[in-house]
Amino acid sequence: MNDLRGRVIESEIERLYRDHSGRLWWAVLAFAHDREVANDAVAEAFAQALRRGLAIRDPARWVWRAAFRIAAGELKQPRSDRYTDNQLVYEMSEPASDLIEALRKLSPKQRAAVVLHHVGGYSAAEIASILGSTRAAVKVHLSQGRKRLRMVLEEDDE
Amino acid sequence: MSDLDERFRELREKPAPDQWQDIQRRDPQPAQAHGRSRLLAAGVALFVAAAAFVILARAFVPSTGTTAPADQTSSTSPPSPTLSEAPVVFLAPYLNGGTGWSTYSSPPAKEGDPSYAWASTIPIVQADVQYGAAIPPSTIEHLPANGIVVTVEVVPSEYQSSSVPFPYAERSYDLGSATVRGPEAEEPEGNYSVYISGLPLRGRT
Repeated sequence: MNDLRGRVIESEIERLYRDHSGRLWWAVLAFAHDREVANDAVAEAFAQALRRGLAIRDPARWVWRAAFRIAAGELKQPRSDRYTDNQLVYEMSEPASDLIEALRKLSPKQRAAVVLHHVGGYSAAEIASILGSTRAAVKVHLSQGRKRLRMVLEEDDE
Repeated sequence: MSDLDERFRELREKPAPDQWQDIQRRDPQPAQAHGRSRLLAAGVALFVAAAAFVILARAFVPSTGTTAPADQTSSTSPPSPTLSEAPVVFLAPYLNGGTGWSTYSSPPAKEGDPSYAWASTIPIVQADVQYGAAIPPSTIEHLPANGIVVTVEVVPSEYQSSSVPFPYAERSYDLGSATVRGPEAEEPEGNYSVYISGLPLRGRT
């Protein structure tokens, strides 16, 4: 019985992984600008989801929240081997790499709100839930972040 | 589609590294592995949560005329932690309840696992206990008019290892200043209000 339940949970989490991991990985990468952090945060979030199974009522939102919190936690750790992930830029088209670079110029809260909205497709209320913030605060970060991002991108285009 | 949406399209559609096999083999890390700073911030939030359930429990005790409901889950005392079985164990939050209330606390939680407590003016539905979610959806769906369900959740990032098994502090809450909203995606649909107290305090001192 437990084996069956375990297989069902694993199947559901794998389906979730197939649906979300691409956007989630790029969103975390755009937030953290560190491929290792993105790899670790996404893998750890889904591994935790696998372990918790049915205790999670909204697994999609849960893994996004877990991945961003793990990434934010890892970014606070001093790491001598942290590096600018320039290889990432080579693998992307010029507009996308410009976008990734421009996101660096936003504050972490603005960046998180912007990538969760534009890559994750989440509303302000959902982003507030993911980031542990309030809808009003997220709206402010989104507004300021999008404004700042447009300015940076326009400067780059000129 | 906005100009920025168009810019972000490649990030939404580009494939990412496939880590599924690694995830299946991965041994999830305990919460503290992701940084001391999370634990420090967590201490504040945990005190908030601890205080919140005490105050809410007192605030919601009906004044008169309510009989104790048939208790499917029983009014539980907080279970004892089994410290000998795990290096770090946290007691779940505990709602004091009172006449006319059913209460429930989740079992002691190992570091990295969430814990929660509920109090309800109707019997807590057994399916919610078995389901193990932070919010009791079936109980909420059965609430009559003027019924109340109180939930408290302590999430892994809110534990503080230096205060095992469960840090406690007296703090008062004014429900008049609580955030009030309708049900959101994670909660059952229905015509009811959600009062949130404590959660926005993360990061305050």
